[in-house]
Amino acid sequence: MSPLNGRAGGTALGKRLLATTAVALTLGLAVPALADGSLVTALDMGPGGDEDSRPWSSGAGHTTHVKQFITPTIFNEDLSAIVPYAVEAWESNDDHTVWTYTLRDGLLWSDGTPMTANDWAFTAEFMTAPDWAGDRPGDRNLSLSEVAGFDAKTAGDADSLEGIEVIDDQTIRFTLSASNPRHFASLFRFYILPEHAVDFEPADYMTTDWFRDPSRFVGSGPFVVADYAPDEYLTLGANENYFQGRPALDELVIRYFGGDQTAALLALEADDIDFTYVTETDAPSLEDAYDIFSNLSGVVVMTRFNYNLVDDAFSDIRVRQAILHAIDRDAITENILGGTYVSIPCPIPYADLWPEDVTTYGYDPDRAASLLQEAGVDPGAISMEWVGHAGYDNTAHNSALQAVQAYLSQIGINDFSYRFVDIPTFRASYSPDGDWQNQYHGFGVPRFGNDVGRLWSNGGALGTGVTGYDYDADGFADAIAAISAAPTIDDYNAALGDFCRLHAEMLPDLQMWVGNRFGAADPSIANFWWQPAPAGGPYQDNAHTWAVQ
Amino acid sequence: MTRYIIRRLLLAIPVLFMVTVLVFALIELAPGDVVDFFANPEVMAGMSEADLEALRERLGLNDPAPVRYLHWLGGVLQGDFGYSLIRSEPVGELLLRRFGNSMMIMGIGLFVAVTFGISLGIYTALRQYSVADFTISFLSFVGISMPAFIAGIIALYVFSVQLGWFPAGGMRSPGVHTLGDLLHHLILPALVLSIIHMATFMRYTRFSMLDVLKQEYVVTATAKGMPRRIVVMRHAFRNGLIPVVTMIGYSIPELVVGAVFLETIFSFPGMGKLYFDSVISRDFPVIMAANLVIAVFVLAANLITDVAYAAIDPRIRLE
Repeated sequence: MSPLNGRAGGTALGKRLLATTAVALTLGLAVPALADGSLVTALDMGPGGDEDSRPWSSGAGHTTHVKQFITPTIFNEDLSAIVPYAVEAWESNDDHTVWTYTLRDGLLWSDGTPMTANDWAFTAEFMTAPDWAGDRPGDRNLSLSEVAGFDAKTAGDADSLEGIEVIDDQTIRFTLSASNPRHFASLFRFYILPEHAVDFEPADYMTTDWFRDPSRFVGSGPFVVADYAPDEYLTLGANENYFQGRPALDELVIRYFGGDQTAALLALEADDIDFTYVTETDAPSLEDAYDIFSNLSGVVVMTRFNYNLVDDAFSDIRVRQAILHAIDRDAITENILGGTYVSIPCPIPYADLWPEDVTTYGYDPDRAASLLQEAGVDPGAISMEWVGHAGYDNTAHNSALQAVQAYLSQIGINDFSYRFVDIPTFRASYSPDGDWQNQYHGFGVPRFGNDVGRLWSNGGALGTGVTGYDYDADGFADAIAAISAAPTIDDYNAALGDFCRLHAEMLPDLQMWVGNRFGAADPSIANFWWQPAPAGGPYQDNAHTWAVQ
Repeated sequence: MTRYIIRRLLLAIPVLFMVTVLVFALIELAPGDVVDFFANPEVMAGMSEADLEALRERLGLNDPAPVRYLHWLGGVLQGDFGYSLIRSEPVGELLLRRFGNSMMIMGIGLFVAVTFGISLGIYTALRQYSVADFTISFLSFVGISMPAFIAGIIALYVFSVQLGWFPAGGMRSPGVHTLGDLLHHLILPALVLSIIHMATFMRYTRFSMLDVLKQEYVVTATAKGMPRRIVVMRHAFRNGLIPVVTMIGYSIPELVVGAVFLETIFSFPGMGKLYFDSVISRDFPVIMAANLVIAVFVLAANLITDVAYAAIDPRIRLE
């Protein structure tokens, strides 16, 4: 009988086919390994990340942007100072309205073209074009809104930005519309673009694929775009012309996880990636196997009373003080939030800036009850609803708010509830004209930049419409102005401390806690550095020295 | 039959129109818009009210709702679904890419689920109250009861983290564009998906077959001495298939809807996750287009199901 006839032959053929298929599948499934010098990360996971974003028009993601572009100045490693990056020096006139910056010698774009002050000026003109189509102009405002002629240029009333002047290839001069003793601290998100390579118009900023197309992209950071798969990953290759030297890594892959921390954590534990942001809940269990990077996030979680509009009870500071005294924030941060948060005396999340004499409102339910009595407020009549956005809708914060509920009930405030909504609902429902009562949310407070003053300012660039902050009381505006006007860093830090003290006295909103944020990295990565910076920084991470051991 | 199909297709036009109107109205009723999404309260993005208003103006959000709807409809009639407000890419391309991804994972998952679900349903129906029946039925209840994301996490933990057999999510390895690598990434999520659906198909097939196997014509066929295989497959299975076809028909739209939880836990860029993200960010061009595509698939699936009834059961006439 021929092997091809009959059952026995069929079985033999079947086995052969099976073997062939198995070999083919094995070969097909064998994934070519990444280059030895490749690092696969989830750098854009977590609150500081912004998958798929582009510089100058994102609310976060600076950890990735700074891999591709350099900025004039940058935060240092631990976010304690702003230091030179693309520039080597700066100077200002006496009233701090004119600033002159000198670029480093020998800066090159990734295609070998020299970077000059003209690129800097070009970027400023590009970003202030009236038809610039970025959908998040926050970084543009931070970097350029102080420059003379900004309003006229962005409104289309001027052809160029009046306050920008190129002195020579290495030097540029900024003339400001008002004094700013720390203008250099407004430039840490000023990603300089290459004039010679940008081949799209400002109106096409959001739709161009220039930022992800390896054949068109020209950058200045340690890495350049090498490959991009939408919604999947961005692969960055080493920039041979990076001014601090060619990176040790050949490739830095940034994988996207759609924001799901569980998926990223599983990928880390499966050795598919080498680094990811991890939650405060997961971090402790990873300490043995991974290098854990953590620091106070610079994002304060706080609640705020809108006592002006809704509930007269909260207009009495004794009621606000009573609520803080009623909640054992230390117990919540230690026991419920697992020691990954610390309670704070004011919304300045940097302990070294807190004055020693700041009022801290420790846990004292008796004091809370007597304060309510002094104020003539019946705790049973107080109704509180804390509304947060979805970013805090997790086990830790739900548990923390349940604890708050229990503590408040101890002083007779039984009508307390909380809920979480998505960001558009949060924003739209809780605008100054809305009927919201309390928000539970965090906000980024970079140590430098204009954000601190803007948070409580009526006239700042944020305005009341965006933040909802409209607190106005004697001394408050002066304290904010003192921060902005402080001539030296020491004065600036002191002014922040004064503001902290004043805030604690007035309690325009109730500060709760600030959390550590965590990243977990495979120990095989050498020289790696990650910092849970608000919006991702940017900060000095010396990515050109990262290496896979 | 042809007239029936044409009539159903014509009826679909007003239905689709009403779906778009309804979805647009629901988006309008939802608080906030995409600009509110951009003004993230967490980072205090340094945006002024003037910036936000300028953005609303540029995106056309200040136009009256009917104008915006008609503008969108006019574009769709010309094959232009507009731009995603969040992702800044043409909605058509975006949907096509995500749809293709979902089709792969959902297609494989449904194929496996249908094949094995029906087979196991027949198998258990023929062995009612046996150990195999109880065991498979128990497992099917587990499959039906288990939420997709739990099943996904367990599968990832066991097969990716512990055993290392499969990648822990994603659609492919960075820089690798081979079919083998794609399949390697697809197998685990597709299997998880198939197990959940398989249980449903198995239960329906089992119930239906048990019902049909008791019918007189089946008993007659057996009494006539027909081989068991022919009795089961030709007489019982064909009649028992109708409710299962209904279930399969209901499942077809899932090919395009995607599976949001599964896609999330497997970091798989499919339609489900896209739709979810678009809703929470108020990306109305994507929401509108996705709903339109989903509605088309639902109507098409219903039509295919009805036509399949007639093909399976000659007693059914479509007029």
